[in-house]
Amino acid sequence: MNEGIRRWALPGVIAGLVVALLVVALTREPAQFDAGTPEGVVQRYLQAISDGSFETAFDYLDSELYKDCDATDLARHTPVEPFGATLGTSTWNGDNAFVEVTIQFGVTENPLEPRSASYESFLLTRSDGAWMISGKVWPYFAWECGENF
Amino acid sequence: MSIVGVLALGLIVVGVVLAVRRFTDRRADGSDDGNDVIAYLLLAAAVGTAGFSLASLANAAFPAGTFVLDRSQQVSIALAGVVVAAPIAAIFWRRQAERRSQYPESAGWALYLTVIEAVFMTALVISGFNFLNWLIGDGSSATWANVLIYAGIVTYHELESRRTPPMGDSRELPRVVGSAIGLIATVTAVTGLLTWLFETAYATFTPRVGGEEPLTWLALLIVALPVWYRRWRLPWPAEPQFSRNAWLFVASAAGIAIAIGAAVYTAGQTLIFFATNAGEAGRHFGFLPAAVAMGAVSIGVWAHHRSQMGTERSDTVRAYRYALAALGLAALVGSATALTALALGSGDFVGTQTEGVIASALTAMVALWVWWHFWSGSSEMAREEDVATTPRRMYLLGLAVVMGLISAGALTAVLVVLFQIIIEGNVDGSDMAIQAPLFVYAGIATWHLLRENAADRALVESDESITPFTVTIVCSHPGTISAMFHERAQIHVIYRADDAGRITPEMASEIVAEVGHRSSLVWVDDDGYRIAPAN
Repeated sequence: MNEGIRRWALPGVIAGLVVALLVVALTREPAQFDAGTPEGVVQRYLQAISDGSFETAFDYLDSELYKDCDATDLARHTPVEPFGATLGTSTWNGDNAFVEVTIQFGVTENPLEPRSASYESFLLTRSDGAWMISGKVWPYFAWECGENF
Repeated sequence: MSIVGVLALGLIVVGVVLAVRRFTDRRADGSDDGNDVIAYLLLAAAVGTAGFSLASLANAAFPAGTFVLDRSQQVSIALAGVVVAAPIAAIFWRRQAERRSQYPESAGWALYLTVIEAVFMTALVISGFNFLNWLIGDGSSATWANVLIYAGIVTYHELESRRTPPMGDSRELPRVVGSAIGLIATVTAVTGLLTWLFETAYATFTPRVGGEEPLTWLALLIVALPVWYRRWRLPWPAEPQFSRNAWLFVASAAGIAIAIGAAVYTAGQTLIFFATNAGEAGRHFGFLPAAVAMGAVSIGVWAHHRSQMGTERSDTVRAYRYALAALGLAALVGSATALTALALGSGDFVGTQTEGVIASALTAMVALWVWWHFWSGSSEMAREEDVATTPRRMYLLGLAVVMGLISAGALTAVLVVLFQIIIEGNVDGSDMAIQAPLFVYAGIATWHLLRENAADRALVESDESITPFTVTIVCSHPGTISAMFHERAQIHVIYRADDAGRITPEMASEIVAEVGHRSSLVWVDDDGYRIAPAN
């Protein structure tokens, strides 16, 4: 093999790999669940929190249950650390559903120092055909929302 | 990112690259040994940063089961890591590749490969296990992307180490580290699988426990076993060097120590069951599947590595024997202290402290046996042979220092309480139940070790005071007399033409004793032997 080609082969491959990964990372979107499903509601709720859109996130909560709170309470209790989430199992039972989610905090992806993770279970109830997040859910600020809790 | 930000980042990268080039272009003034340890460590840091950043980027590109993403920070950090570290790694890599052709016995190259093996093989095993566990087991979702990155880094370095194999004393170290990673993961997986198997069997006659999901252990085994096989079982290019021998000793000693520990725990729990009101047998012996599995696997590890050490009394075998003697002595001091403290503290051996007494007494007996077994085989018979070896000196002096410090610390604690009692009158002295026996037992151990060390020194000094001497023996059959003289003796045997002058073993002992360490002429005939001084 030509010495010049051999010399630049590995850096070239790595540079190409970096560009390819970068393009994929910045353009790829996670699979979007239907907004009419429990998974879709939890996904939008968490994505809104992650994006800092606390008003949007608050709208996915049970308005009757959380009537004594507002989006600022949610914002105040959200960790500053960035997070991502992966879907676990979800179970439906009539108008109730449970969606299990693993929330991973931090940004590093080093297996020698794994990201901290929190396993959360979201309870959802269906009212007028729409799913709403009910109960005390992450990031746990319900205790500030009056006697409903 | 703004233009200013990009420019600033570019300037930083260029600055770092220039600084690195300037630093690395400097050659030492004739004292260059080509080891380049610092340069190789910097290379390892750069490759590590670039590798993990690339893996992070791959994770951001192909996240596993992702539901919600916050990738902006992850991508930024990963990209910055790659942009800064990759050029530095490339510059150092080329520099060191050129230097290796000049200095093929570079110690830095072996060190670099060891660091990379330790970091990226561990990362590969963990990420490979996570991915496989998610695929076939019940683990949380994991991506394949970083597995490929880590596998690529490990494979690339393996190919490079074949192209320019590390040389020198530490050439086996990278493979040994890989073997250790593979073995630890394999042992964990096999122990987990055996525990599951035994728990399933145990659950057939007791409702107390049930089998754990074995797929997780299977996933770990599938990942770890090939690593161990590739690094340890494939033929080695040469006889074992220091690193491989050290690993043989560590794995053997750890294997037998864990096996003994599992056996002692099982025996102790059995005695406790019969001696106390331990409750339902199924619940009490629920530990058995794990203990048996751990013991069986440890025995296997010990047998495999111990057999490779051989039977000859090499430094590796010595290190193994003295390490176990040290372990036995330390466990003996600890368990004797605990037993004495329990006796002093309670006043009787029955009651709530029975479990502690049984455990301490059993541990003390087994520790005594372990210490005596390994020490007696290493003491009188081998004193002359071992006296100047590092394992024996480490055992005697190193352990004496540790035990001496423990004893001194315990004595200090005892004196503090005593002085408080004298000064203040009413002080709780319950801590003395532990500190006082610890002072005594650790002190006895220190005294024993120092006494043995003094005997060793006397032997060395007496050996040094002997000047070389020559013994000329005239006889018909010398027997084994040559081997009975001191090693500084030079023996000449002049054979008689007749059959008179046969040296019997008894006569040989007498001649050796009479000659001592002086140059002599020994004449043997039908009348016995005569000795005359020779100069």
